[in-house]
Amino acid sequence: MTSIELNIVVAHSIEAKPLLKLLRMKKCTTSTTFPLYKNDQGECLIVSGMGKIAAAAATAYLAARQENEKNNVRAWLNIGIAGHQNAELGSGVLAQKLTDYATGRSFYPPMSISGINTSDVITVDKPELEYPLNAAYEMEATGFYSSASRFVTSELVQVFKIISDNPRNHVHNVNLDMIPEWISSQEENILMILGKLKALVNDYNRIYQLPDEYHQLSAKCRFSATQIVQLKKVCQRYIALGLQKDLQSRVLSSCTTAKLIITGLESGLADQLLTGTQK
Amino acid sequence: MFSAIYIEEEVANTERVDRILSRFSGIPQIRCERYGEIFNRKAQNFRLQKKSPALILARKHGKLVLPAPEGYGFDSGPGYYFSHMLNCVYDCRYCFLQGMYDSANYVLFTNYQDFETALSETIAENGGSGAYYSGYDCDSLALEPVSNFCEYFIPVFARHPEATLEIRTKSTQIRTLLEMPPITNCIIAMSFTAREASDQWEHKVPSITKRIEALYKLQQAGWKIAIRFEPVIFDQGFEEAYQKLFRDVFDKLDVSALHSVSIGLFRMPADFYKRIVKLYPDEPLFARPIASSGGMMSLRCEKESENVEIIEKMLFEFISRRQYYRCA
Ligand code: SF4
Repeated sequence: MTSIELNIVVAHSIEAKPLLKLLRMKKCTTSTTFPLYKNDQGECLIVSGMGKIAAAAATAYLAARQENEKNNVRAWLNIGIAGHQNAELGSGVLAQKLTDYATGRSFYPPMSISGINTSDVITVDKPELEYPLNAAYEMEATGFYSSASRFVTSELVQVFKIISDNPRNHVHNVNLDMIPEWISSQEENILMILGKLKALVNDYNRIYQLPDEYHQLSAKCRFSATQIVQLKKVCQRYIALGLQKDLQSRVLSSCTTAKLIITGLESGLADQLLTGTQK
Repeated sequence: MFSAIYIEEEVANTERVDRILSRFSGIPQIRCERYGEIFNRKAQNFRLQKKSPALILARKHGKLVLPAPEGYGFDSGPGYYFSHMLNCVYDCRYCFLQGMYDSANYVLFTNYQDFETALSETIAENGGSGAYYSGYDCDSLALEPVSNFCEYFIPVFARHPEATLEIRTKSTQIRTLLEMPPITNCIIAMSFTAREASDQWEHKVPSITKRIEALYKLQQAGWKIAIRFEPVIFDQGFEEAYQKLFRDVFDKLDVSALHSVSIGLFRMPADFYKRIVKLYPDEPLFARPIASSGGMMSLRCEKESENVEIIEKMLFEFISRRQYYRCA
């Protein structure tokens, strides 16, 4: 089964519930700080708790746990409820601009997903009661975004908010029982975002994943940091030039020092290019 | 066409910006303080962004007209370039812009009046003359229906007949030019590579045939045109490929009326090149052996001078030496 390299961060277990059902996820840690769930495809969901600091911490915690997992990067999605000046209850918006109300700092998630309504999102430290701007008000997005975009390119980080309150249905009157229902009513949009993020991240991993031969060669002996960079580059050049077979044969060669492996690869490549298409 | 439009507060509600926005009411329009908040930030991937680029409408501050890099243009006199736009709607794999910027979004500077003032001042400093290149950081014509670049800047140069404007392009967006009376001090310079190279590396660029057709129409309408063969890459069979390209181009056009013809090889500042290699580890072009000299990278080619001579010799079967220059 192909794995979907994707992480979801939510603030509350009440927000997590419909998503766990939708994505068939099961709890995979006993940690009570950040409950973590996973499905057979490898998608993860973490419950951060409320506020931007908790969201940033949970994101960093999950990224650290996955650091040695594989060569691949993951896409990140924050899903949660928000208030809005004029959006309808239960509607969903993809964040086009995130502003941290306390610091005034803004972030702009690249608009790599089309076909969904978008909105500015303002992260506040306590619930917004006045809804002064045409924006979604919530408490986690900027913490999540600034943390996740430290681990991956920002095209792979998105924020999706589902409207739970507005000036006509005040935040103090939010019916908690409705939250899972509102989130479930956005299943179609959520699956579309996940699908598009999955396509992007798979594309990214396909381009930047290092070939198996690199891993085999780097395991043969000790390489310095500089030599590792050289090894990566030369392996990628073999693959780019369609010389995977030659690279494989190098894995079987008897070179036992990093220097010999690299010079062998480089001279092999030069020979290939001499007999190749270069004029 | 764009995934979103970002609008700097400083240019919001200006006439040019409002006109552009009215054409794209269906896509997200997002306000920002400065274009640098979106454009050249870290943690962006040019290659992923190129799949769904956004348009950023901004005001250009600082120096608006800059000295052209040495050997850039056709004139040995003073040369300048100005960039009303950063980045390009096309996606040529050899393009240095991929290494220059972290972002593939297009920035359109809409304060044309400021560019006009800066151009007029520079022209005055040069006694009314000089060569002014547009299309260094972008393709000047490709976004014409949105930017109205020609509509604004051709009349500016009409008022400075001793100064020369070169619009460098691979675009066939020539409708505005055809609707205007031609001016003698504007040159439309079209770039070409041989067909095999174009098919391999010039993604989203109009076909060679369409570009020649556009040049033909411009020439018929009285515009001065020029040809830029660059970057020339010496692959096997380059003689035949360029022979065919030269025939296709020069058979169709009035060669004696061409302003100039140039060739340029693949050259790029080392730091741009390194960034591009990282961005495209799977691109065979960047896996080739390279040569580095004076901070510039080029594709290593043992017979470079001989090959250039071959190309030049073929070229002089079609054009006069007076029309030719070699781009640095
Ligand atoms: S047309 Fe010119 S500016 Fe545009 S991508 Fe190609 S080389 Fe770059």
